[in-house]
Amino acid sequence: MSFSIFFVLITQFLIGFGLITRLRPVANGYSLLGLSMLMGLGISSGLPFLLEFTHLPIARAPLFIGLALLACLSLIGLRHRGAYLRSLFPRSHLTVRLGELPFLAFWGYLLFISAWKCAWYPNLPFDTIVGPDLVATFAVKEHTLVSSVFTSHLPSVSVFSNQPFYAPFTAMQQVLYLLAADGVGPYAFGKIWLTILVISFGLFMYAELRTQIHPLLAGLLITLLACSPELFAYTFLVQTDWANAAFFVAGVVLLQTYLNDQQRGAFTAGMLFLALSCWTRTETILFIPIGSLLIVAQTVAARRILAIQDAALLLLVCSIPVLFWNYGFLRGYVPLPPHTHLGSIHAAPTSYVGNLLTIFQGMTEQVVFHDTYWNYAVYVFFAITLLNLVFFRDTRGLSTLFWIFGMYMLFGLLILHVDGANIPYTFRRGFFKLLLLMYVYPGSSSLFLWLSGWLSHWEGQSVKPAH
Amino acid sequence: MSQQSRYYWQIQFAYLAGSCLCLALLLWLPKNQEWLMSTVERFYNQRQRLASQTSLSARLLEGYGDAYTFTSLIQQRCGPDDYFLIPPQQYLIRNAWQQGKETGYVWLYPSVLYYHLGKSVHLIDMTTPDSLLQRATHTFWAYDNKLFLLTFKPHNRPLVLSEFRKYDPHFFAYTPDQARRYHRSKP
Repeated sequence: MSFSIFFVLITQFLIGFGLITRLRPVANGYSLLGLSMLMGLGISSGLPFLLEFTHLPIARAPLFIGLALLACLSLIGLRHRGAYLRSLFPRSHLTVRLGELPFLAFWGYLLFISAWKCAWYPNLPFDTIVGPDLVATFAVKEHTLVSSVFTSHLPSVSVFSNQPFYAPFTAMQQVLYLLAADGVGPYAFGKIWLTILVISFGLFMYAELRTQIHPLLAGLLITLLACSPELFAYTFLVQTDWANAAFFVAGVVLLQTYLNDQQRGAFTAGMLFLALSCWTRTETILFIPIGSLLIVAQTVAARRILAIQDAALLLLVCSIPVLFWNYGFLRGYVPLPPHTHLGSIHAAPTSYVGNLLTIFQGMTEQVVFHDTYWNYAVYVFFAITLLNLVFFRDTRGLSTLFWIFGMYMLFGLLILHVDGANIPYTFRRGFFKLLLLMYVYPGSSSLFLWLSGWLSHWEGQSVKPAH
Repeated sequence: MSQQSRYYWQIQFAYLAGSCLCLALLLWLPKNQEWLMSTVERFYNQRQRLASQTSLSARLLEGYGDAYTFTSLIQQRCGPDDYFLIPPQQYLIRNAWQQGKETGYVWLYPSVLYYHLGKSVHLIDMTTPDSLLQRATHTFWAYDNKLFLLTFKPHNRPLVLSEFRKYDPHFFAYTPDQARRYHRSKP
């Protein structure tokens, strides 16, 4: 790994580390490390815009100085967070048990395959090379975000769809790492950020699960998830969807932490991650009202004004990236070609309910229960949910189920009303968010808490010395 | 070693055995087994074949195949002042299917060509006004089911343009599957 790539990685981590440590949303060290990297990736993707608006070139020197300054800014004031940091890294929390090693080895092996493929091959998906990577490649070549892609290529061709106008996170990461790689070496295609993002999210998710349930159960759940072929394929194919799912699920988990513990830092961090997910895929804004609804439903009885204020704040903050990109930058800063169609919405067709039901049927058959996309992951989730609801009949984890159900319904409406949204592409890759949430759910389900309690009890019994 | 410590390690080894068993069980399930075997096999084949090839051009050729071959050819033969006329995709699907059946000529999509070619040549297609079409210097021509880079001359321009005009310039098959469906349809 070249020094410049290492520098970008470290500064991104420090940017996130400073902010996450200040917000204190998590209670274990591994979660903090994973979240810091995710947040750093997200925030640093705004830097190319900052350079553009200050009329600095999109080049190595301004970008590296910008990253270093952002990292320093983020780390200022961390002196008073020593106690918090020390509480996150006690030996007992960090120790990896022997029983976790087989799972870790298996995931490490899969990640090795994924990382090698990601680094060796150039960007292959059609949507990427005519979208985010096209925008990034020419931004780097021409040292500006308003490159010839927007000013001369798109206005001159008769056929193009909306890929160049995809939300900018993926394109901006490509900009950062294309500049860092400088067109040479094993990471010349700039895709290493995807591997880092997958590892960071995996670390966060596993760390959160193993604090809630027994590590053996957490290991089983993540292994089931890791054996989803479609999810695995997109760990080395650069697209917008893995990053979108990672930010979204981190946001949902932190929002739930806030609803459980009333911890303000978790709310702010959750809100920022949900805003980043909208910065990664524009249609994510349609799912944010589910979060606002949950905030109102779960806190309105205790704190009416604050509940409504938080719900509105969540919607407002998540709208900012969508408005900035779609109206501020694309229509305001970059003149769009006259024949551009950006996800136009069409009216309800005749036989509305029939059409909607056909879409739901298609989503279920073609994606949710697809023969090979997710192997056993979806079936196991339904089995766990059914067992949990039948045997425990309580409200634990219901909000995660509400997210999953709400998003499924909204995806149906999205496909019905938005031009270009479809089942085989939009929902298939959008399903990553639902799939990851399906494996967040067991962590808070009574069934898995009961199983974990049973395992811990057995451990406790066995460790007691014989008299 | 104290008795407590011995019990602790007994538990740890019990968990190790348990997790090995669970992992083996999960990977033994038919769908997981099939997926993992094919993933691992494909990976080792790729690594064996490709790991020693570290040059950018080798990696681009492996990744993009025909798109890289033909765009490299355009780059070699055309200059920044030349105009490359993108032939209608339907024309190539009909007349050079054997050569393009793997990709369905999806790489003819203007933004894909721009991604590879940048400003090394001007790109125009059959929807551009006639006056600009007359400036075209190069295009792809199908002959004997193969693709050739054709340089426009005064005598071949009318023939080529009239042939291209037989096909819908707005049609685009975004996937090889769509291209295959068009190829199977009646001309």
